[in-house]
Amino acid sequence: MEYSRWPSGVAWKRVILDALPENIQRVIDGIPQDIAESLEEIRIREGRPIVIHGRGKSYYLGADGGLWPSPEKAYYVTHRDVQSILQRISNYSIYAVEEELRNGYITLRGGYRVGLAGKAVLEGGKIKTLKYINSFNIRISREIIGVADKVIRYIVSGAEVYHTLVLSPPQMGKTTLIRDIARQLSDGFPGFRGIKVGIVDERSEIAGCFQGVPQNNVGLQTDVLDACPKAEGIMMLIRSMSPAVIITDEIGKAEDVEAIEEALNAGIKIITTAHSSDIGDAQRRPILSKILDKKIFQRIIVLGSSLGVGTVEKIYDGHTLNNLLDRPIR
Amino acid sequence: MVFIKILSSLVIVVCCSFLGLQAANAYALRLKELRMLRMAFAHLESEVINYATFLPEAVERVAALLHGGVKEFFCDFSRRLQKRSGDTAAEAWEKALKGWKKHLHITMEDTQILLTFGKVLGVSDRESQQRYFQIIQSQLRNQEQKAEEACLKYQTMYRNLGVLGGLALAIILL
Repeated sequence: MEYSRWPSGVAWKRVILDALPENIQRVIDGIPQDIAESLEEIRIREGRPIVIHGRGKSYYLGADGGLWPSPEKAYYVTHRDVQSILQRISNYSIYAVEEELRNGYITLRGGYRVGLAGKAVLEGGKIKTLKYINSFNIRISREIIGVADKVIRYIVSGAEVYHTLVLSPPQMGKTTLIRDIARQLSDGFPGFRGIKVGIVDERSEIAGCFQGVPQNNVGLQTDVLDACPKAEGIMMLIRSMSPAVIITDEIGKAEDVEAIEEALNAGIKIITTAHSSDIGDAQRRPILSKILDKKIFQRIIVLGSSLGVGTVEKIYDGHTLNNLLDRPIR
Repeated sequence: MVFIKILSSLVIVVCCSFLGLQAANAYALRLKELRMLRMAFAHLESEVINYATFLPEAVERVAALLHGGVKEFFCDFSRRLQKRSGDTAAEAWEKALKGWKKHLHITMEDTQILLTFGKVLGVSDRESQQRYFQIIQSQLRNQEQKAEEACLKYQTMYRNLGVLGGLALAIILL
C-alpha cells in the first residue's frame, strides 16, 4: 500500500486498509470520496455483506466498491476474509492481544478501534477470551482539534482549572471534548500556560494508544495510562506522575468516587465524564448523585444535540447549580 | 600420453573425494541447522510468551541471533509479515520456508515438521502457543538425535567412499 496518497479526510484508509485482505481493500478503496470522508463505521460479518455507515445513512458494498441500498449486488464476506482480518488486526499475534479480545475490541495504529464479536470462552464464570470471531465493527473516529475552544474559558480561571464533569447521552462527543480539553490544558493557550496532564484511558478512546503511544493529539505535557482501570490508574498517576489535572472517561463505580476524593486531597484537579442527559437525570443515579451531593465538581457541562451533535447545552456552576450559559452553543 | 593419464586420474580422485566430503558434510550441516532452529524457537518462545512481542518484531529479533540459511529464512518470514503480503502468518511461513529450503540441509521430514508448526504460529492465546513451542522443540530434539546417529554412521562412510571410489574409478580407467 502506498502511504502518502490519502488526503486528510480519508487518512483512515492508511491504517484501515492495511487491516483488511487485498480483495476487501479494493472494495473499500473504491468507495466514492464524499462518502469516504464522512464514513463512521465499516461492519464486516462472515457470510454477510459489508455494510458502511456514515452521516446517518448505511449502504451495502458491492464487489466493485459500488454502494447499494439493498444487498443483492453486495460482496459477501468469506471465512477466509475473516481469518485474514483477524490475523492482520492482531499483527499476526493473537497471543499479544488476549486482553483486547477479552474486552471485545482491538485498537489499531491511529487510534481506530475494531469491535469484535464471536463466541465467548468462559473460565470460572468470567470471559477468558473470544473464539470463532466473525463480526468486526471498524470505527473511524476523527479527533476534532479546537472542539473545546467554546468551553475552555468556563473551566479555567486564571491559572486555576476547575473540577469539571461532562454529562451527556452516548454519541454526543464527550470523549472528543475531553480529549481536546486535555490537549489545550497541556499545550496551554493565550492567557494560560500549559500544565501537566494525566489521562487514565481505560477504554483506549481518549488518547487512542497503539502499543502505549497516543495516536491522538492529547498535548505535549500529557501522560497516558492506557487500558488501565480508572480507580487504580488515578492512584498510580498521583503516586508516580505528579499531574496537575487528571482526565478520565465515564465514571460510575463506587471505587471511582474514592479515587477522585484521593486526587482532590492531593490537590489535583479532575476532569471526567458520565452518561446522563442532565443534572436531574444524574441525581437519580446512586453513584453520580453521591458525587453531585458532595459538590466536588465546580463546573458541570451538559452536551446534547439541540444544535447538532456536540452542542454544549448548559454549563452549571457546581456549587450554586446556576446555568452560566444564556443559550446553547455549538 | 602417460602424463595426461596421470593428470586425469588425479582429477577424478580429487572430484570424487570432494563429492564424498560434500555428502558427508551435509549430515553435519543438517545437525547444525536443526540445533540452530531449536535455539531460534527457544528465543521466539521467550519473546512470545514472556514479552508478548508482536510476531513480525519477535521474528526479526530472533533472526539477529542466527546465521546462515536459517537466519535468511527467519529474515524472509519477518519481512513478509511486515509487508503484510501474505494473508496469514501460515502462508508467509510456508512461502519463506519453501523459498529457502534449497539453501538448507534439512530433510523432507524436518521440513514437514516446520510447515506444521507454521500453521499454528501466532494464531492462539499464550497458553496454547507455549504448548506448540514445547512440541516443536521436542520434535526438533528427536530429529537432532536421528541426525546425530546418521552423522556418525554415514559421515566417515561418505568421506571414505569418495576417496576410495575415486581411486577405484581411476584404476579401472587406467
